[in-house]
Amino acid sequence: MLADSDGDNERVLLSSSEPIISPSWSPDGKQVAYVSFETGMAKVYIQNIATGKRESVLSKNTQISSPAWSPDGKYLSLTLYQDGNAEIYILRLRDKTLTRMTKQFAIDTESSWSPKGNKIIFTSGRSGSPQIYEMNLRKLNPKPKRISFEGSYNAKAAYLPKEEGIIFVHRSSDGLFHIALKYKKEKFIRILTEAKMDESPSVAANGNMVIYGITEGDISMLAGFSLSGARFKLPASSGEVREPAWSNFLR
Amino acid sequence: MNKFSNFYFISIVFIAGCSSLQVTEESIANQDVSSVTISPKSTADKAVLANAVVYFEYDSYSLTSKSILALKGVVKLMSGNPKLTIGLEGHADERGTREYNLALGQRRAEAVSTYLVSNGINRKRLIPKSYGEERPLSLGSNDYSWSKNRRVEIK
Repeated sequence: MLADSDGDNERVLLSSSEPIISPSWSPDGKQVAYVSFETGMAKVYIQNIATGKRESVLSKNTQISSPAWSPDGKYLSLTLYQDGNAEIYILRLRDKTLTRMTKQFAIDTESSWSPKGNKIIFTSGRSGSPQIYEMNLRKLNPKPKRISFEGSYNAKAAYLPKEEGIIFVHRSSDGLFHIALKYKKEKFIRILTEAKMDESPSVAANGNMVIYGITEGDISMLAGFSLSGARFKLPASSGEVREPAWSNFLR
Repeated sequence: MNKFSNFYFISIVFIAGCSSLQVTEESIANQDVSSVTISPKSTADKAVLANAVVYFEYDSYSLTSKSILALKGVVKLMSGNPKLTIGLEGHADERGTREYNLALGQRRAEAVSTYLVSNGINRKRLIPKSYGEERPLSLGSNDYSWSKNRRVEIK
């Protein structure tokens, strides 16, 4: 679904009885990439918002998930399961050239681009628990560098728009999941939310607003906060919602 | 509400009101983890189905001794029915991120696949895949439900 930032003007982009997850906007706001299980296996689709036209990004007989657009809109980072294990690839959309980015026995997924498009961050289980790693794409044979150290579960990270830090999902010592922030300059993390199962944070292009998913009672809804401290909730007018993603500024 | 800016749109995933589960919640909830059984079913055209579920610990894709017991039955069934191809459908509980759980479900399905292959089953007869946390069998947010949802369905 698509909605204005206040939750108004809802429009359905796709409806399916099979799960749909991980929506990601193209930088120009004209397309959305997402994962749909409609064929019985996770696959990534790109859909044009104005025309509704959609296509599967790769005709490979393997699970494909976790799409993220590069800031210039030319590439899509993806997770492919063709060796039976989740590995990160970058797809050049123009000619569908695939470049493999990770080769590791552990899970590698949830890639996301730096604002300048020269780095990706992703979640990897290579240390024995999910942690966040960064990879410099400008280097030849880049090596992933671990950038999260606090706790045994840090995942689904995204850069702040000036790359001054990252927002991610952190599991506290009590087993609950919260949205956390780590500034590059600081050694410690800041836990920003306080429900039980906070997930799917998405940072607005202005870098000041974060929207995320919460569960209240048994109902999934959206909540958000500004880095200056304001908080809000966006319950759906009907049903439940989850996995929000901000678009870029649209001109 | 316009203080946030008119220039944003938000894409969200809307949860459909009902999802169809292929195995009913009751059939699993009534089944103790230790008594996982293989029940070969014959249909009119004599197709044989492996119909088993193996369960996993939190954050883990290691096979437990109970799982291995159930999988021995699957090996036997498949050895006796050389044309049988089975799907190995991995699942995770709701805790943690959706994409990581999708990958974790896949690791669980692959763990089952690896066991079956090491016991003489041709890899081509196995189709491992994952639904992550998207298809829970038990809907509560508690230890009992979570233990039922961390599973591989063999069918």
